[in-house]
Amino acid sequence: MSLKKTAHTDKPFSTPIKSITRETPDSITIFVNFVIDGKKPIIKPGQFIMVWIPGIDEVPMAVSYALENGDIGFTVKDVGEATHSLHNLEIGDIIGIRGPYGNGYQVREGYSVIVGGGIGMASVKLLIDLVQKKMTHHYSVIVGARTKKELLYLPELEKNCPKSQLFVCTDDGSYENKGFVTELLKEILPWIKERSGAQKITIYACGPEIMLKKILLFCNSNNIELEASLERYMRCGFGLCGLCIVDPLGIKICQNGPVLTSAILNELDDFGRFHRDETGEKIRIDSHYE
Amino acid sequence: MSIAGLRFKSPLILASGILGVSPSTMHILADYGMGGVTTKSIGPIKTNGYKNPSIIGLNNDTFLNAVGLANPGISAFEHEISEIKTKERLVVIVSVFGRSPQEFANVAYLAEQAGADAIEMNISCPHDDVSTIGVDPNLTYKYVNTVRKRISCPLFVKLTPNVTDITKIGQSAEKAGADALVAINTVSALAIDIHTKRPILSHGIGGLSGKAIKPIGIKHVYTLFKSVSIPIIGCGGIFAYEDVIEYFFAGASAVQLGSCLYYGYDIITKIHDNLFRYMETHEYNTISELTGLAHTHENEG
Repeated sequence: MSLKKTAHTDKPFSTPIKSITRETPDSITIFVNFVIDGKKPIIKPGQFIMVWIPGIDEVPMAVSYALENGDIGFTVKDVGEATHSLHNLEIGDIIGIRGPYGNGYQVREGYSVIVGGGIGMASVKLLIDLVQKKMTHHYSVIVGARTKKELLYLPELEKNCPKSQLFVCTDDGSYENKGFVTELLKEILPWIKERSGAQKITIYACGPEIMLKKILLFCNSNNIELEASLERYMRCGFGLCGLCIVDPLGIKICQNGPVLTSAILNELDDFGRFHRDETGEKIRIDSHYE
Repeated sequence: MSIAGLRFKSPLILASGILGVSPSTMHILADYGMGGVTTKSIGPIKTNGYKNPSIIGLNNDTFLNAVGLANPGISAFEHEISEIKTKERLVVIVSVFGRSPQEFANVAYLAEQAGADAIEMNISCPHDDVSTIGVDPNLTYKYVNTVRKRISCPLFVKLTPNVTDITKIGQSAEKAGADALVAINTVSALAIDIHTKRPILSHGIGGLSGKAIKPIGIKHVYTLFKSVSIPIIGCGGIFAYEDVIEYFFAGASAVQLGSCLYYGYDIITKIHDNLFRYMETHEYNTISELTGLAHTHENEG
């Protein structure tokens, strides 16, 4: 009810595309300015925005870049009608942005392991930037994708992340380790434990929900905290439509999430199993994502 | 507090279209102080509704939506109704719609069979064809009467404010057998983005809810109170207990909350506790003592 001191809007803020960066053959990052009435946005790592593509659709997107001048960037993988139309836009074209929404990752004391699977890297990108800025913070990063060409932000990561702290895997083995991030995680656990010493370990992860579910089980059996970012269909982004709710806790992914902790994830029957479509009907995730 | 023989543990009811799909959420809302919940409007078959943007916020706690009655269809929703019903002392109202009187009646019947305590007819969604029913007294009578004959549980009818004279519609619904009226549904409205020169919602015209529409809701409840003898459930722009009292004074016996849930579940408890504190301070024992009090002054001046 109070006036927000930083940029926030629930009505699409029309802004022209300032630049477009090619990340992978099917992913681009779109940059726009998000300064409203002189107020700059403060984006917490893991928060998202709703992106309006006039005449097409409006979709939630993780914020991957937040610059000093109030510019923000989001990475889009060409997977459907809305994202395909975003790929067809040019510099100067107007899109609408509202938000930021969601809780974001809570950066905790201790040792951080940041895991991004495929386009899930877009959600943890700002978190990686943040832990890299905090020189004292001990961390490692695990990046996974189906193939080398799909690895997101790889050049930037290889530049900014000490070699010993960056782990890369590809499903087809076309770059570094062959296999899934969950397998790599298991493999390097002794190393992480050694590096972390007595510190508490937290894994921050985003990627396909099946991957997140496997990571939760891994965390449970190794006494590691997890913060994972989930994706659900949503209309409003601010807690009214109810389509993003996960049962049985009634957690709203848009407001209480998208980042959920182990304690909550362990209580969610829906996690890795069900989501609701745009009609509100519960659908099995297995059939939807695979 | 009771309406049409249904006992509500609190006069606060969840409005249709807000959060109304997940049983767990409905149960949480009850824990925070809702006496009843109204589901999303359910129709005969699964409907995808309109594309996004379908819900946006405007200034000052006011929202514009055109969801297009997206719903999973009654057959997929029956087990959700049964699940919502497992909560003790929570009145479950299922909002229904259809493309003909018979379709309305069939959905209402199936919802009642699945456990609904009451049926709310949506003849007033401003961005769908069902709104053509709620602006016509004869159609309203026909639809309401057909549903009335098919179900035995209490029947509520939600009215549109987008009419010249709401009392004619309310009277038709009452004559056709409605047990209570819900006023108001959203107000037909439009927002245009001046940079792209196009309506923001994918459907264009939508329904306005939130703070801006409260005076419209209060006015319609006020005029209905003088024209019908069945209870009125006030709805539109309630964000604080004072708004609830205003609706009671206008003539409401209970209220529905929707857009205020933008502020999370806690706002329900806040409204609930402050309302009962007010009643205690002013020595009111029942809500019926507050209902319609503003009318005692209408012949003054």
